[in-house]
Amino acid sequence: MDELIIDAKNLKRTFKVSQREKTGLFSSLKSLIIRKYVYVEAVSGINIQIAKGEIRGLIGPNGAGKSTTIKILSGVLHPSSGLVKVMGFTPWLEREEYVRHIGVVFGQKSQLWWDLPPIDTFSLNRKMYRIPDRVFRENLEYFKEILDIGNVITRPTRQLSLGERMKCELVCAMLHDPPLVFLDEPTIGLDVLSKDAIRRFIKQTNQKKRTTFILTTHDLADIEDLCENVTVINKGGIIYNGTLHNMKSFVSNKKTVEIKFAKPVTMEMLAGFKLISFNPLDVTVEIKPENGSIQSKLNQLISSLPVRDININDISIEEVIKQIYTA
Amino acid sequence: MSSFLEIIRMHFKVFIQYKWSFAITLIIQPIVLLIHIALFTSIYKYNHAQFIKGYSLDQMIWYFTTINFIYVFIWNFTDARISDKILSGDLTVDLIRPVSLFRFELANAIALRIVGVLFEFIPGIVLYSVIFFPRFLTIASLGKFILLATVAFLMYYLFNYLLGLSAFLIKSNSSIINIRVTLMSIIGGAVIPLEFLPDWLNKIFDFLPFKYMFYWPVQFFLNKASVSGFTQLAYIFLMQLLWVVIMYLLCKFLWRKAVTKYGAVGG
Amino acid sequence: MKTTLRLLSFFLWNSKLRIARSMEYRFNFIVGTVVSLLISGVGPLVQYLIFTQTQGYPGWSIQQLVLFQGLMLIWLGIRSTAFGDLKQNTMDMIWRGDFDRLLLKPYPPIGIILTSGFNSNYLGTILAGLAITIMATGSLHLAIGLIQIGLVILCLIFGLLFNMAFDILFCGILIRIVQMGRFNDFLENLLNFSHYPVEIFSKVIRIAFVTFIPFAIWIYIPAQVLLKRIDMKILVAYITCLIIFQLSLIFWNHCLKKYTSAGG
Repeated sequence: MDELIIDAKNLKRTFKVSQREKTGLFSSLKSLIIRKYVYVEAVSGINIQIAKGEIRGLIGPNGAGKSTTIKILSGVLHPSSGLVKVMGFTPWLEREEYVRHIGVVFGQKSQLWWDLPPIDTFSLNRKMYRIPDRVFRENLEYFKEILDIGNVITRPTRQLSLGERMKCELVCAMLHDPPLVFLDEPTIGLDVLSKDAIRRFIKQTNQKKRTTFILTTHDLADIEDLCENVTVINKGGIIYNGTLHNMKSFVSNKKTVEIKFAKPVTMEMLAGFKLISFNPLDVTVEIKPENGSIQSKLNQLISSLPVRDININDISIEEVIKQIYTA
Repeated sequence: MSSFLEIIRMHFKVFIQYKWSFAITLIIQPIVLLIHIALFTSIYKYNHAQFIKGYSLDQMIWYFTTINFIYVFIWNFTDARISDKILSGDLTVDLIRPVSLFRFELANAIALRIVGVLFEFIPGIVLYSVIFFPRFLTIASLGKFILLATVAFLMYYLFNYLLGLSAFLIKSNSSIINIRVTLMSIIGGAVIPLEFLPDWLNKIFDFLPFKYMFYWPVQFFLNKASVSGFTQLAYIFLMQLLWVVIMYLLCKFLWRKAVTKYGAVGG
Repeated sequence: MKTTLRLLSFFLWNSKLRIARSMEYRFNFIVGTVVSLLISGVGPLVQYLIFTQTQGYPGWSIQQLVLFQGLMLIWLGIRSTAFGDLKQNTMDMIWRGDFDRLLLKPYPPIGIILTSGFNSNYLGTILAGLAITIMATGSLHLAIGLIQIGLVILCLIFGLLFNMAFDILFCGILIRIVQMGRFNDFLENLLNFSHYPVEIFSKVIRIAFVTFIPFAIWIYIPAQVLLKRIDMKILVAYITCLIIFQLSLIFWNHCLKKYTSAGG
């Protein structure tokens, strides 16, 4: 195993949340006097190790605890219990010094000054992070080119499109050459081209500077494109941790088979197969190799039915994720 | 220090972006002075008085203008900014900065006030003097005023910072923030000279910080006989510093408590 | 007319929502009502202090001044309940760049702005004002008939129109220059003219305030109605309010046209 950049053990964080059962005037009046609190465990015992130079994807359904985890790891939140070492720091205890060594982008929050062009926020960060002039200029040139934002950064932020803004947020987070970067939903709401640019940027920076990236996303294309390793979080705990490739076999090694027929078929003729979709001329079925070999199943199909074309696929990553989430 | 200068530079840029709003402000400002001229000229005439509560007519009219100057020196939105950040979860963005929130917001507030003093106080004092000349004013009294108003700025910043942090405790704290203005303006003497209030009330107000932010600096500006000596100046100045120290310690203490409890909104 | 009615129902619906929301934060709601009362009470307090610590104002006794202050609280309460959040909301919306969304709604944008400013904190102030006014009419032994009540209500309606004109003016300038700085403080200070009986002003201003710049419509004229010291000039004030409201709408439409053609 490579050198670890993040080592977190048994992280826990609980929140106290007030509860109101009904909406409406009466119950809001009632809540003036009586109020129930519930304790929500956002993160319940997470262990995570990340190697230097890795691009790690953190996925999970909404409210699974991804963001809380990232916020603890970046020093924003104090955990209720647990141990974290990131590059020798305990993030929340040595926050001000620690954050000089990391970059963070929260896809839903902005650190750009709304009234001013991004270039002004960049210069502020230069001072705040004490970035040497040469490094600042070089990095800015590099970012401008790779993200294609040369003429964007001199326009007031409030006039920029979401994609342009997100690119500038990335620049903000990375001008000081942090060895570790957290990206919380960096592609949220962006179009295909902007997503592509951002992915290219992450990949190249990772290769060129050996920057470690940790990103959460709901777009699985991000993960497939960027990450070798993924961590799946659900209900505050880790349910899978490993390579993307193994994740598919972790669920099962099912295959989907698309068959096109020369003549219409009926459902009865396909008895014994698990149907995913059905049209008289076009059928998709799922085959589990362990219940008898794929070969015999396919033979059975081809010999008994008027097959025109056949296509065998691995189960899609969306399908895998869906299964993991609902497990 | 250099990031501080950078923040000032950015506020200047914002100012230039919105130059029209400042221009309008400057044009409308004298209207307030005109209200007070009308009101007090009429009251002094009806009372057949040279002095009311120890103020001559021009001192009385300038009392309110000077209160306005105090606001130019001290005003900031730190309380609302911080509580908004806490409630919306945007504090997260501040926590990934390598500078403490206290210093970052202080730099913002100072920057904002430098812009204010340059573009509101200086043109304002000239403009008002043309409309209604302050016969009582001397260079020395102006100097003392600027000194005390500057410390008042610090007091007000600390006070606002504390209020902002109160969002940690009681979530939506906008009403507390609103009461600040009212409390300050009555107790500090910003709505009416404190001489109009009963003595016993004034004695209580002596133990609160607000009088040192408004009433006293104004007295020095108006060059009142009661504050002509050096001892008065030293006393007021030291009282201000005392409050600065007290509130600063409170801020440190509360911040340490609060940030461990912070639960960033959203996931 | 139909649009106006729809907007009114929109206002009521919005108000209900606001009340429910402000209850969500219990501490804040209770304190909010008290605080609002305190805030509105500052004006009357200052008045009272100046009045009692000097010879007072020409033509006003202390009981009459208390009546004036009761009406002042009622007016400040109504104004802040109906439009209290309007300016802040609109400023936030325009600064964030969300104003364009209003243009997608099937109503005039200014109508939506005017109907979404409800602030529940000031309901208590209206009640306090009513109590003081009723007490004052009692101690002055004023016989209040339907005519007086009708005239006062008319004053409030036209007063609201006049007040809306200021809000519309504010919003019109706002969409052109985005940030207002302290402009609002000074607009508020301008309205402070109405907090004093017009007798304290010079003769020209006095006449202007009850006729062509009818600052007196909110507090002074209603007080005069209850004290039965009013004449036909009241009609001039009503009409001016209406005219000024119309003018503000023209101004707004002009600003809106400039805004939409500039493309944000």
